[in-house]
Amino acid sequence: MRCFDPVLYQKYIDGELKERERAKLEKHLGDCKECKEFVERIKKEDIDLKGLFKEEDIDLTNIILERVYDINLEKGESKKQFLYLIILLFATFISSALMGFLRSIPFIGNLLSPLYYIPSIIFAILNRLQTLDFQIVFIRTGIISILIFALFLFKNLRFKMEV
Amino acid sequence: MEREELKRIINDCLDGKKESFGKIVETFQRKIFNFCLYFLGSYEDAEDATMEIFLRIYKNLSSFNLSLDFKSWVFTIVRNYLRDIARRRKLEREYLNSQKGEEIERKSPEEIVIEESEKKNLQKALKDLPENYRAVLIFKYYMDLSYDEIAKIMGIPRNTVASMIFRGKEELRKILSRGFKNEVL
Repeated sequence: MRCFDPVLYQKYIDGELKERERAKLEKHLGDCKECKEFVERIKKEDIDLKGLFKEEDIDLTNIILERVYDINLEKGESKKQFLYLIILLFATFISSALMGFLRSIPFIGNLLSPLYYIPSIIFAILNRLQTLDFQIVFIRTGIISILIFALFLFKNLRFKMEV
Repeated sequence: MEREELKRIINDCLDGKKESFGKIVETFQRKIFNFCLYFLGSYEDAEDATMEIFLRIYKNLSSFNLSLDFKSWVFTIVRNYLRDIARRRKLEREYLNSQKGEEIERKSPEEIVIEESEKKNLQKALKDLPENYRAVLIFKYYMDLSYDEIAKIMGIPRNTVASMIFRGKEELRKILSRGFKNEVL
């Protein structure tokens, strides 16, 4: 039967006790033979256990490097993705501006409103072909489309209210 | 490994100079391989695991934050990889046991012959330990890591480390005395 939680003795041996706790335990160990023996036993066990872990030598450098040569790191991918995103933004902007211009033409304009979405969808499909993550591209494109649509809607509403 | 050197190696790897990664491999392969060897219990498995771990390290290099400790980051990858393997093996074992209704000891035919019988027994006994105890004991007694480092890598509170070490040793002692009749501890 030990006087403290046995885990405390483990912490003591590993030098992980706070100064005050350590001093208290050391004082106790001076008085309690049973606890002192227990600590000595754990210490010996730990030394034995450490001694059992022997290192094997190994050299896998060449094999690992060979396998690494087949992998393209993310930096290149993210550069490519960033470039696609810029193109996507630019293309969406231009095509939306074009749609806006076409809408301003009498009679034709009224027929065009659903087409606001089309350029974005086309670019999303094109990006899909560039082996990008379709979901990411589609979400980005979707957000841009919604923003542009909201902007035009807001402009039209304000125009109607003014009229 | 110095921070500046590490930064240079990571940048080299990101720029496609993959041979720079060799320096990281040379620095960590011995520790990682031996960690895997004690964790998995077979030379062949440890070799495969070491290679897979280095590929993971390489793939994730760009996400490494240079303000963090690289060694801890590396061994977090090691730990996560081995934990996945342990879970998979446990499921396999449970499935096989349910199929045959008896205990099956997994032994790979390529298991290396290690001269010291004590070491062999330790490997076998470690294999029977729950994987979190196994990892903590290897970190403590093979890697000689501090409680703080172990807690960081394992993602557990610092206070839990001591109890896991203590309980892990108790379990190990039981396995060694029960399974091999060879009082190593």
